[in-house]
Amino acid sequence: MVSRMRTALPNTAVNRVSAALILPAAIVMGAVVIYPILTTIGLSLTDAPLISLSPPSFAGLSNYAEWLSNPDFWRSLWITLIYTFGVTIGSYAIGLFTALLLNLDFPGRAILRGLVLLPWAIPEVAAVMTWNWMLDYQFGIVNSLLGSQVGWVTDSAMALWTVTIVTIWKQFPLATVVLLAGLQAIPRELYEAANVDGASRLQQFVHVTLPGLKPVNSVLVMMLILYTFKRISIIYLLTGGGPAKATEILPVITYLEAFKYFRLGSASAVGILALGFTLVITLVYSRVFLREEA
Amino acid sequence: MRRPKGSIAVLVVAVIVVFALNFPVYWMFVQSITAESMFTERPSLLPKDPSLNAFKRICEAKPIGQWFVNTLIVAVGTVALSMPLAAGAAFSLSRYKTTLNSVTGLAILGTQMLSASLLAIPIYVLFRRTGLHDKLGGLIVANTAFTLPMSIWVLKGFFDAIPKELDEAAMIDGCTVGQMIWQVIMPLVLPGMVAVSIFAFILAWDEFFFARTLVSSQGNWVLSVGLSSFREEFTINWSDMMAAAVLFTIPPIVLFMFIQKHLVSGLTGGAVKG
Amino acid sequence: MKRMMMATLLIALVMAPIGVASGANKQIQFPSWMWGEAGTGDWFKDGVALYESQNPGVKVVPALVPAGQYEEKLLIDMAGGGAPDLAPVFTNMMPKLMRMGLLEPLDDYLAKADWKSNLLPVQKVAQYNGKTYGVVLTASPNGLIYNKKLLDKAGVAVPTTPEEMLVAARKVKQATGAFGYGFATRTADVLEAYIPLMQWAIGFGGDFSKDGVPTANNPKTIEGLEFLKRFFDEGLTPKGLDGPMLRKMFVEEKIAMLIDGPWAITYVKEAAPDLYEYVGFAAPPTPTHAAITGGAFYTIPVRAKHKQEAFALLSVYNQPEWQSRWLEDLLQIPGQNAEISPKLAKEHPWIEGMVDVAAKYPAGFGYSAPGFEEYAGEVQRMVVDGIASVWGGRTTVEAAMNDVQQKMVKWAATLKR
Repeated sequence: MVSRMRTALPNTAVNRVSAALILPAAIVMGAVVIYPILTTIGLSLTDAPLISLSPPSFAGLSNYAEWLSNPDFWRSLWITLIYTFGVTIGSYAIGLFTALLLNLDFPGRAILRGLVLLPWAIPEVAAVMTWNWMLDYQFGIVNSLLGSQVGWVTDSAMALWTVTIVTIWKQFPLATVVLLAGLQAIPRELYEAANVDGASRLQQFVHVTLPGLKPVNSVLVMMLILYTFKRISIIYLLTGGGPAKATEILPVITYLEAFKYFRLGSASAVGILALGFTLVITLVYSRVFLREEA
Repeated sequence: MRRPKGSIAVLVVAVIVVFALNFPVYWMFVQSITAESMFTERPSLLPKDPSLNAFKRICEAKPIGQWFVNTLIVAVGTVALSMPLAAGAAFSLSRYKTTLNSVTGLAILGTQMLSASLLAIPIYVLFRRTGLHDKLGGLIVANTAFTLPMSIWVLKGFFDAIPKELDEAAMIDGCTVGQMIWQVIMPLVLPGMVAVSIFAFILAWDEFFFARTLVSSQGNWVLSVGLSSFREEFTINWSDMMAAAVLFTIPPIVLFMFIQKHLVSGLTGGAVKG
Repeated sequence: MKRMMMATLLIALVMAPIGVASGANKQIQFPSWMWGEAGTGDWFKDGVALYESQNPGVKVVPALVPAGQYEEKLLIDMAGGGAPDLAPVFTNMMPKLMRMGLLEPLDDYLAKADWKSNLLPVQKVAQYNGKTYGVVLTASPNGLIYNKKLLDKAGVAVPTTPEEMLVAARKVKQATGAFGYGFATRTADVLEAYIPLMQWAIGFGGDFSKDGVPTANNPKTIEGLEFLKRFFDEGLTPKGLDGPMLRKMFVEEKIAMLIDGPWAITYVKEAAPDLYEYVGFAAPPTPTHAAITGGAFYTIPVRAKHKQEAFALLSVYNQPEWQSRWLEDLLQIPGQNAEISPKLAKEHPWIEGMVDVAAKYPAGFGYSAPGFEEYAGEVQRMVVDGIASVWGGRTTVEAAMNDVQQKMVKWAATLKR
């Protein structure tokens, strides 16, 4: 672990230099993202409609109270959690599999490494439209190839699985790339030593590879969780949150409240609640899994 | 080293896996060139009477060239703007443990947590007031703000991997902080910079939500907005949309192919250390 | 040094060129999804040209917004404190915008307009509390749109009752393999999925509410929906599709009948000209023949900067010649009564059928449940969530509608009225 305690500069100079380096980025992010978060918190305490000609009236925590006592909210939270963890686990698994595969030595590896990134690089709108049609009940290639008659996005029992799989497909290359890098950073000597000790491939995997990936994993999984929790486009374009609310994750509720029902104050409360839950998950996660961090 | 025979087997498996995973991409391409109706109950896996008509049509009917140029400006601009900002912030977070940095570090995480729907209006208002609305420059700023968190995070990992002793040695040798960073440290994280640039480029290239909110004039449309216009009020222009999607995807992939070796070896050095 | 570079870069990027003209004195912001459409786009552009020639010093800024995003973009614009000057608005947006006080009352302007009395009855959608907030731009009814070739092959006449339609659909499927009657069951697009439900519920004499009281499980509503379900159960409609896809299938002669608006027929004219002469428009073959009417209104947002000029522009489009041209060129019903010339009737025989239906059976304005106009979105969603389980094969119409009724009643009680 690299020591970060000593620097060659006196304290005030440190503060100035470090601030100067970080401030430009902080300002851009602050203006574009932090400011909206603050206004959203403010709006969540009012009864603001989407558009109004007069300032909204203060409503205290009533929006929060309404949502927290609404079963639709809790159902949505549950679905969001299932979706997030399903996608994270799935992306990680496929990412690990492809990373292990593409870490092996074989001709043409460079091209395949480029190709494996396609799902992530394709614009989301195009990808979702393609999947939407692939999953069509009558004319979709999926039902045709599998010989099935499944309503992938029309059957409320299937829909959540379907959107999870599509999201995993879109997201796994991110895991592939990060894990591939992580695999390459594990020193060869560790494998050689294990070989000398007579360890089988599987044992090497468990005792050298997996531990070696630990530092990468923590960052990667955190990234996957955060990205997925607030994804809306894939679900919104595939199922619109249906059928019958089967895939209605919190971001979908937020969108509907704001843009379809015109209740911005209410939507803001949902958004802040979602942010709160994400924060909790993040904190729990870092406590449990990131203990090694200095 | 592995025997050639084993590595061919791996190649075969890898090809099958990668191609299977990319089936939807293949399918998208097929839809853009096939003459078969999309309403066929057992669609053929291979394109029927393939032709490039859809591609010709869209180039004639829509200002694809303009969209390309705009998207390129936005993507390149985002990379150009976010790299220096990300590098500076990542270096600072890596080296200096100040309160400002701790707070900022948390805030960076926080920016990833709010639903885009709620960001739309405040950002729209902000951009209107600062004159950034309906300008490609505005999109560049917005994209930068959204890609900075990941860029900073990953770059920080790289900086962490470079021993502090190097900093000190450079300073003792008489470098200013600026020179130390620019001439000594940066060359070492260059692969990391390349990696993060690709991520930022692709995120900016594909970005749709803010592209459509923050830009009005047709002359400023980027590819993602243009693509959505194939879904008209009453009809949907399927093969044209697929053709546009194919064209839309090609530049980042080409870029990827050229740079992917830097990407992987780039990430090797840094992120690992956590 | 680096900071200076960054700052310069930032400023340079911010100043990146854009294509908006800013030479004239006044600029009328006129966003629309129609600028890019063949036919409609030209109609609007010609009007702009005429207007600008009559009003030197005023320039109209046509902003093209893809139809799917138009509503959202307009809302964000208005939520952000801005507003265009002349904004076409879909029928389903009208109730909300009016009640939120976001549209300028047009009564004073209209008083001076000589074309005012010619406006069609659907104009009343734009009225609220005694004031008028919009001018109908276009309002076309949904009717039974059929492919005569397929019907002939199956040996059936154009149906006029639900039973006839069911029989016709079956025979078409048997004789030609095509779907008999296609309707939207893709619940991801709530409005698209709601429209056929409205069509058949109102068609059988029911609806989802009456005077602000939910009636989702009214026997007539259920009867209508159950009849619709028969097409679904017998495989006479494709499953999980929405309007645009269904129209495309119709054009490819894979569906024999739709209940849709004239835009479907003009689409046929463009995409399959040979099929055009075989396509007809009749009243929906339900007991009440209710024809759900969709369309758009011209509105002037209350925050518009150039209201007078916007209305002047709007007036250009409302002159008799322009109204006739809308009908003749675009084959859709303009906002006012327009004569069908004999030539037009001959070239496009289906138009008389449409005008007839529009006059006799208009219904379902604003796609809203009566008494809940302001909350159309919520009602639509509750109903569609209910029917989604039916289309997903999980429950019956009756059970679903009882459920919807319960939800609606509970929800209605929470509204501040």
